Amino acid sequence: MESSPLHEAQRALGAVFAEVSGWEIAAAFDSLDRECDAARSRVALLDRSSLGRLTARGADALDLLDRLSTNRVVDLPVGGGSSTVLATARGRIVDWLTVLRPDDALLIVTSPERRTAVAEWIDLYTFDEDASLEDITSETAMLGVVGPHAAAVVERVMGIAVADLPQLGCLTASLGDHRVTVARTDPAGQPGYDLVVPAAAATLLWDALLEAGAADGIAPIGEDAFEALRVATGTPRWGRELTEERNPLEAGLEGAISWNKGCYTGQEVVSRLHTYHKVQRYLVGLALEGNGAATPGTPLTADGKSVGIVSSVALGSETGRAIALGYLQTPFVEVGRSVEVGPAGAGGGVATVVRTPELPTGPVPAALLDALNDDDKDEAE
Amino acid sequence: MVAPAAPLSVSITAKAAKKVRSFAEKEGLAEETFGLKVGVKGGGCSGLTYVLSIDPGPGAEDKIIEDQGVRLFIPKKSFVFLAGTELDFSDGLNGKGFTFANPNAKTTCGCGTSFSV
Repeated sequence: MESSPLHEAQRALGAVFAEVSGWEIAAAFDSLDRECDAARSRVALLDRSSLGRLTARGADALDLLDRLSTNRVVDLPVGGGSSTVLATARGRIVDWLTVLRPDDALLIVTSPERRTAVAEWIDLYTFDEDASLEDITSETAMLGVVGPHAAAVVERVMGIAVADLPQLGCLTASLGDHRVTVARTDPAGQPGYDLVVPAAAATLLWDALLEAGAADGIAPIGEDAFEALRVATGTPRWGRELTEERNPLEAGLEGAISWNKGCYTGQEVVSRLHTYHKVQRYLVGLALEGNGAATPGTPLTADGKSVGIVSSVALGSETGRAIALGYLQTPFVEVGRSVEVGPAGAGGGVATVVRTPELPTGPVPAALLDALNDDDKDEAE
Repeated sequence: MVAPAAPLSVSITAKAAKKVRSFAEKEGLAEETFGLKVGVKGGGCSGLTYVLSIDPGPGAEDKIIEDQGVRLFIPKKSFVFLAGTELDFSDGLNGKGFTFANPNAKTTCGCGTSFSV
């Protein structure tokens, strides 16, 4: 099991640890409510070191990533960033990536479980390109600072202006002799920043952020609170909402797809699903009622038929009721729609849709539909 | 039963070879040294796309195959994806250009320029 360079610093603050994605991670420091409240109304600090970090160097690195992923990254400027999906030829997700360009080298942030898979995937498709990858996960730490006061605290510690950074904008700063990459990543849907720092300086930065944020009421938070915030804002995560069987459209990742960049691996399938409204199911936010014990994998049913599946469950600290994310068949994707939790008639309670992605609207280009009928089997699985 | 192995080479038709020679001539390349680089790169809808260029000489790790009087330079890593491929030239109504009959390609994209294995 891997552990973060911030492990001791967190233990000293009374963290309770749990194993998540092969890492020993701080699960909680305080009550869930108080931790969520800090992130929502003040500022919270969390260890995000389990996310994979790869650097990509070379003149062809951006072009290569552009050819292999869904968003346009080929002209990403220094200081910019992009959210993009590495996809298979069948349009399935290899991983959802954040690509940052703090300087000439790129910093690719992967899901915790996927850093090796991503590196191997990119390597498989690297032929003559001037592009090299390096996994810097274990030699760095990643700290998330989230909440309405996050910018002020980061500015105080790093001595740079970050409040006006656009989403995924990034820059580098110094902490003593150490170089820190700061990016506006809005982790788990909260306004906030990720700071990537050499492992040797991780505790220094952690302590400096806690000290500088004391007046703002900064609180360290753990995985449990982060999970509650993530589920509440509908942010998908690998192993739950994102798997090798999902496509980026059903996972609500349309924001990470460029519709006019041209060919990339998986483009034909992704474009067809979108153009012809062929997405069979979508990720939705759910409010749970009743005494159901929904867990990831619990079926969602309507009229005795399975119409979806629960992917994540958390306690919603704002309402005190359980909230969930799950996939529902497209006809049920509508705010206010209720479905049964668990097998039909098992009394598992009710789930009501509270959030949906934006569904495609407008007419399907009918003239071409006939020509496509042969191709539908794959997407209809 | 063991399936017969795909022929472990890359070939070119007489028609495509003629086209390559005429391109090389236009570029003023010496017939003894030039070759057609045939490779693949990541991308295209299906994951891999073909790369073709007339090069003055082979790369350090290229496999060199001579067929129809033309030397083919195949980068080492690309060869795995190209073994058994026949390169042809089409000037039909559907578009003029080099075409690839690649036994490794399980699927190709709609426009035919990319494939997956």
